[in-house]
Amino acid sequence: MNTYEPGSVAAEYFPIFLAGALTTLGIVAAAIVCATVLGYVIAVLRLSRIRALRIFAAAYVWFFRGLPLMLSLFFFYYTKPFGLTMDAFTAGLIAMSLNSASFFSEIIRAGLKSVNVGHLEAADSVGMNPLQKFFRVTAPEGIRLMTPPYINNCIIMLKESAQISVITVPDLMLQGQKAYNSTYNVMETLGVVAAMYLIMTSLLMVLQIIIEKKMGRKMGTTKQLREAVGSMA
Amino acid sequence: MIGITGLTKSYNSREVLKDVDLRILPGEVVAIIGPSGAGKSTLLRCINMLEVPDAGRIHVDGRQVFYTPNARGKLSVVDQFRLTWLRREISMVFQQFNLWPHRTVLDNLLEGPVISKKQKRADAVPRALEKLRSVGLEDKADAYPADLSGGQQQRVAICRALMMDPKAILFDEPTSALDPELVNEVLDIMATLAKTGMTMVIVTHEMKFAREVADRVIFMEHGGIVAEGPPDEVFQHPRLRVYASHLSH
Repeated sequence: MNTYEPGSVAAEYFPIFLAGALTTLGIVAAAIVCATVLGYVIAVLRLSRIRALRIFAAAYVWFFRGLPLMLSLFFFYYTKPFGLTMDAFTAGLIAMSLNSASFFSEIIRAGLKSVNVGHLEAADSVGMNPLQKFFRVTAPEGIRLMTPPYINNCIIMLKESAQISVITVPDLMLQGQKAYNSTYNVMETLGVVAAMYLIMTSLLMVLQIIIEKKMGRKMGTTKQLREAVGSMA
Repeated sequence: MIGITGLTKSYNSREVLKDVDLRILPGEVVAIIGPSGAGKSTLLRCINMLEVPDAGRIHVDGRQVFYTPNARGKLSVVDQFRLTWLRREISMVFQQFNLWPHRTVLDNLLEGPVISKKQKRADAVPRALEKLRSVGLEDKADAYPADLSGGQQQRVAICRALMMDPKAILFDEPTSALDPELVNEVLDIMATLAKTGMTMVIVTHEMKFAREVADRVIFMEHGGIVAEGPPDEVFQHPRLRVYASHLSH
């Protein structure tokens, strides 16, 4: 059995950890995009005038919010649902997206509902059509309200993504396990893996601060920034 | 300019407007007064379809307004696309100002002409600054609504309505949300606007203003028009005198 100098695991396995971190980032980013789109659809259905659609959306949220992510992961990876055989990455992406969409839909629904009705009527009163109203009033106001819980949920997704290691997606967690299985230096390995998770979640928190600053009370700065950048190009 | 016949509107079986007829002539300043719950604001909001009537015909500038309410009594999405012409002809000033908080004063004025009417921003900016100057707020162009007093916000909202070059402006209790000392700065601007020949329909509780500025006063109670005509005439109406005596106590 080899004995390892302090710091040697970090040095030797760093490229593997980095590859794992990139896999984690990739699957989480893809899942955030899918879950946001799906969550938006569910939120709109939940606010629909048609009762059947509202019930469907509520049932979706009830179902996926109430099940462990691990269970969804096992389902999509091991049972070959509907005769589909999929690789671990795809199964992980689908399970994470479906699971997180239930949380995002609640966040988006709350955001859409808290957009000031008077501001929407003002958009009507100057003759904006529904699309213009959405992009000029609903989205900017809603995003400002949604950002803190939205980013919070993204951070949770990033951490929970460690569960995909159990269905053999080579993410940061699985690479860490491989490293300490072959080196027996659990402490140091976990330390490096923890540091990398913290770096990734910290980046999201910084992103939140930036968005909140830009979209705070004075959301006009977003536009001014865009124009400033445009005039430089 | 605006013609309304047989307008009826209910909320959950409560009749808010009962078979209302109304004609507004070009350049006319009409004040709608009456107790709370009389249907004044609903009538006003039906003119630009922020509320959709259950029945009745509306003409604006010679065009008939065709509408179909959805289950919530608002415009269907199709009609929202189809009736943008109506909202571009008739502007509105709200009780709560309803300026967009995420945009500067200048951008609030530009949304209508630039986004809705597709005018060039460069052409609209000088007009917007001119409008701000006329209400004494030229130095607030880059401020955000939250930095302004209520009276200033309402003056900006009037500018926003004027930026549409509307055929008429609807005022829905424009001074009711203002501190008493700020009411006059808004009323003064409305009085000035009335002298320029703008067609104005004003729902208000300001009796003195209605009496002095309006060409015609409409007194509403229980979803119907009780009296209408020149201010001096209508203010002699016995029902209105009862209402006015309640106000002054």
